[in-house]
Amino acid sequence: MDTATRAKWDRASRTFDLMSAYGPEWRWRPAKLRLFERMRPDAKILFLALGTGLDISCFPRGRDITAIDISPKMVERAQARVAAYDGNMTALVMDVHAMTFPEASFDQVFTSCTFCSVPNPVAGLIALHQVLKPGGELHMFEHTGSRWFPFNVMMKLMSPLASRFGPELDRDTVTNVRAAGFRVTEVNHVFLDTVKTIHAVK
Amino acid sequence: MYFVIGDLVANALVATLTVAVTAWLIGGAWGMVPGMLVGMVLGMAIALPVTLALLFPVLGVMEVMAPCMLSGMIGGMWGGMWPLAGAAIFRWGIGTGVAVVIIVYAINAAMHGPQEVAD
Repeated sequence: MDTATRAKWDRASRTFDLMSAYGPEWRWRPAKLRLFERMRPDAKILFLALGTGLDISCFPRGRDITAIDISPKMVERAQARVAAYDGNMTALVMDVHAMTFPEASFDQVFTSCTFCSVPNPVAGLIALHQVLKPGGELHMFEHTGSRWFPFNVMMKLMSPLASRFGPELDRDTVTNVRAAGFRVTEVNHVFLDTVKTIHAVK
Repeated sequence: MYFVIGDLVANALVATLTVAVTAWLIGGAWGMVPGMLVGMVLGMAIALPVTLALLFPVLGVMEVMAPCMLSGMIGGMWGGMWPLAGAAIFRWGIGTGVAVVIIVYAINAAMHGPQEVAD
């Protein structure tokens, strides 16, 4: 377990809803609804990172979802939203680098603003690759760095400060997904090239 | 509409604030090029905490950070280069904020949607 990352997100859990439940979620809700409508009714689904469960309101009903987060405080705060979900959902405290699921356990993996924060993103994505069944799908909603000036420079400058309290801002997540062995099938830009959905298969 | 108005107000606010602070601290006294460069860095440094603490919770993450940092950088550039004061600070600040929002919206419209995937 990465205790430094866990401690950072435990601290962030106190103000997470205040910071994220309004502006960010209002902006992103349409794109997240489009992403999560790909959750199949027949699929065993892994979702990360659960956070305080803000994404649950975007999930379709009746799915079989295992949600994980590295922070016990986040999972604790998510409990009411998990309980209110109209489907089968289990919330677990787990580090993506040290997941205890058997290989090939899931049909689909969904992530939401996760790989901006995972300390070793390629290793984390390799771990997801292992728990996916052959032909399994990875669907991600992530913010990343930019390829374009001046946004690329600004993201790099802001990232060291932002990462002290929350996520890094200059990750190249599409490249990381490929480096982990996935085949990228679709990339959709939601805002500039810094917020995007990424779809890939094992 | 909430976000359009919010983006315009936020960027005008950040740019005006950075023009005011950099004009007060530098105001063209260091020569045009050094003043411009220091003003840009200072403008971003002022824009970042304002954006993270005040604007992020009500307007979004990247959608507010990227344009407001740009507004701060450009606002800082104006205040570093020229001895602006009084109503000129508001003219340059509001003008910069509105222009940045229009430009970022145009860039976003061009980039938005499905991208070519080489795999």
